[in-house]
Amino acid sequence: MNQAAARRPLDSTDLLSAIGRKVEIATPEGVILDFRIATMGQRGLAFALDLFLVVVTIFVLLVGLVSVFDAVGVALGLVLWFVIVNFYFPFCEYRWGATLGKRLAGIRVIDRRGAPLSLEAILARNLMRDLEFWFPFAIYNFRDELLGTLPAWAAPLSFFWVLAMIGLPLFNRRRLRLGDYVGGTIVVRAPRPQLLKDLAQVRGPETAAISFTPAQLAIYGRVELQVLEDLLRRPQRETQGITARVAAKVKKRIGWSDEGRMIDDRRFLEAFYRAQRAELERLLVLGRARESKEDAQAPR
Amino acid sequence: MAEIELKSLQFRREREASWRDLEGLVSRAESGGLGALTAQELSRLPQLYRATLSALSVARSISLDRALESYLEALCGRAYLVMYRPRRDFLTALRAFLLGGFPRALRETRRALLVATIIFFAGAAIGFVETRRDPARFGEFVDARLAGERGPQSSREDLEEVLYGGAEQSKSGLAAFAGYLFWNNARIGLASFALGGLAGVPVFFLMFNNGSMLGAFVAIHTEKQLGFELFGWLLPHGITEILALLICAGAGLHMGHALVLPGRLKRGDALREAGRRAGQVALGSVLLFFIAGLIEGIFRQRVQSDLIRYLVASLTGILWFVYFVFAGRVRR
Repeated sequence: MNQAAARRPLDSTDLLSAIGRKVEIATPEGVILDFRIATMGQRGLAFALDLFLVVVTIFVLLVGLVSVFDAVGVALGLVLWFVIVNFYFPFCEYRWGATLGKRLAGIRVIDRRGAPLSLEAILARNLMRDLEFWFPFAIYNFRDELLGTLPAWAAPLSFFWVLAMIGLPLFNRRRLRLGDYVGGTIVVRAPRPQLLKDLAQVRGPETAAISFTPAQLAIYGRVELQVLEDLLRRPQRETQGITARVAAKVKKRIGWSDEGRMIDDRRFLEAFYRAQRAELERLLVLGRARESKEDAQAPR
Repeated sequence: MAEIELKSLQFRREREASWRDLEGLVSRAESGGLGALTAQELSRLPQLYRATLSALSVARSISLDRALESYLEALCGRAYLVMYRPRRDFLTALRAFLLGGFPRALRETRRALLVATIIFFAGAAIGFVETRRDPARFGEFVDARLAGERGPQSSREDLEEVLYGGAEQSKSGLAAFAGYLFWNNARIGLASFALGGLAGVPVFFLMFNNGSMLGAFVAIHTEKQLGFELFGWLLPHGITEILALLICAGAGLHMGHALVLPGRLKRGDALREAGRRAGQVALGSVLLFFIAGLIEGIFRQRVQSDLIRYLVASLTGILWFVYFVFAGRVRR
């Protein structure tokens, strides 16, 4: 997949979705849905938020319990501590697919094979998180019980094992941590549907007046059209310089002349987008889909 | 000039209302659960979902408008997550886990449990025999900090004091002690589970060492004719605690086995399968540690009678045996 991307120097899919790698999930209906994989930054943020929440809750509970019940409160607090640390994550993820921290970070857990999340999967992945995160501390605290009785060579080995376990998400494309492997889950961005206006529909009278000959529309293909779409969808103030350069390049390539008229570069590109899309759609219906400009020049 | 409307614009115009409808239903179901929808909306949801899925398929093959495609992609993704959310609520699922999933998973990993048990008791046997032969070797098996004041040099009275002492501790102190023991033991158990992933090798050592420690302890007590009393002190919580430890170690070994010898599956898939079972087992063992901590911290320190101690011990033994052998069996 990476090789294919390297072969094509310009791919609109790279431009529009440079913000996240994708993972394909097959729904039971047999349609493949693309989800974007959550970044390590998002996951770190979510975990930090959750941890903060849990620690504050436990602290308040402990202080409250100890002040009311004295030493029995300590025992109660320790047990509650364990329950909260071990059940907050699974409860939220089972119920809503995301903990509060994940929700704020805009990510959620899904099953890698497209099935509903099972309690076992959620429990397993969170149990492992407990280990991945707390284990280094636990090893340190209980180093005598755990490592003191092991032979000398086992201590560095265990150290590397722990390192590998923590660093695992950094070493695989899908950012799976050990808990995700064990639970069969993956953390993705929560999809946020946003329906933008169709560029082919937005047009003023000035745009409508610009027309193109069939020869001028026989040069570019789908890839170039979608790169143009990306450009036109970006906020205008960001793209002033680029718009002028792209317009000049397109005009030169298709042999367009202004014929003395003063046409705004953006209007021109909008009109060209619409005309080009109409032409490519027409070809598509006729079964002659044109992929890119290389495709257009190749003898048919 | 009169233009023919683009096919893609027509496609969108005809379906946009139903997409918006689905979007509304999905966001309400996300915040309030499926219960937030009326019966009529509930029956509309799958229809709209399937229609939108097929619109996505069409858009993928014909649409040149990337924005439309990514909108449908995200909408379908969101609707899919609502459609295929877990059906049961958390507590129901948890109950099903405790009454069925946990004992079933343990039965599925019983070979690893057996291996862990054998190593543990092999260690115990060696620790026992060696310490009986030469009491000075006690220190090799048991870490001085864990042994406390007990050792081969301890007199019979010293040892008895530990076995029957503790009654003077206040009740509240005991509760805190129980909480601490539980915390401590659960962590060590989960650690042996995690170490199992390292091809299981550290688990062998952990089990062997823990076993030999037990054996050495038994040896210094039987030497002074305190064997019966020691087991009365050890077994009420020990049955549950050692079982939990063995279960955790077995879970670790089960994962290690899948990692080293994945069989016909891909290594990742084998780990996933083994991890699903091992994770359930390790989680269930936390419950065992919890119970063991309660018995150890509260019961043991307050009850001095050997008879009651043995009674409780056999009760826990029978309970766990029945639970793990019979709970959650599917009738055929």
